[in-house]
Amino acid sequence: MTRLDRIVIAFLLCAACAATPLSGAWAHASTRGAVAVVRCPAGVRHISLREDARYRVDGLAGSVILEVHHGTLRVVSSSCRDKVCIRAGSIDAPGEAVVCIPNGVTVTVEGDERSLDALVR
Amino acid sequence: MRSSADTIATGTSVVPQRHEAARALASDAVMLALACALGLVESWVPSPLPGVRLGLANAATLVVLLKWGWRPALRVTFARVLLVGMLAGTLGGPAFLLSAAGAAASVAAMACAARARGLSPMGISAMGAFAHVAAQLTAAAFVVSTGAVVTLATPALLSCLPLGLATGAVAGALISRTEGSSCPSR
Repeated sequence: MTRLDRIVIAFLLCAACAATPLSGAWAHASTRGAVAVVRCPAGVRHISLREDARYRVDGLAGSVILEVHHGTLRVVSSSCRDKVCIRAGSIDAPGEAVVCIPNGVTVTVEGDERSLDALVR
Repeated sequence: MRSSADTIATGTSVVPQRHEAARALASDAVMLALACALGLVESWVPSPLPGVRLGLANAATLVVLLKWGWRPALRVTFARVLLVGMLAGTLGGPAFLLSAAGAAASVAAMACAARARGLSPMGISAMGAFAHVAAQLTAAAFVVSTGAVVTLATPALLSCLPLGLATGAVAGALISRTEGSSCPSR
């Protein structure tokens, strides 16, 4: 080990220790709380989960009605054939999603406190 | 129609080139086999944290880098990542994306570190390990976008440093043991 090695390793140790606090602060600053992102053929739309409301989204095969109730979001009605999106139930945790494939509509809850579905090693 | 002078001229220039190409191919293949074997050995060692691995396969990359330069090192690394991805069945999947990002970053970091005078293989390897983990975490943040990546950052980056030093020591031993062997001139 040379002197430069020790300097580099000391620097990398400091960088490693700072990694979690720094990236945590950055991740926190880049999120805006409970917001659902709706991607539909017409574009991207943001919906707040803080207020109860109903939204109508135009899809490829008709329209999809979304309902926000007590901070959870679900699809109330959809023009699609199989109604998978309605049966998907309500979502509220960051990372959760409801998708209506025939209408080309996806709804994802955004936020920083996401939990993992599974861990494989 | 070619003249006889042409054929003689091309004949003399082609033969050493082919010779060089064959040498380069053979040395790449030997180091690729070493990298894959080390990667296999490393998979037998249980990992204390998800994502923390010994990084033994990186020793082969470091040997190639220090003996023959960054181009063959990049070739061997990407061939290894592709081969391991094909064998493990993760080719094109998120795990493959993570290992490709990590491999690219570590080769780039080690190539830069190798240019600086005064760094031993251990220091170069520690930098490579750090870059590897940092790139993997960044790629993982894009793929899964979960807070777990943030939580994992410090433990993963801290644990990769001693492992990188160990890999560097292995690479240093490999280089000194193979000192007398013929190296292709590139």
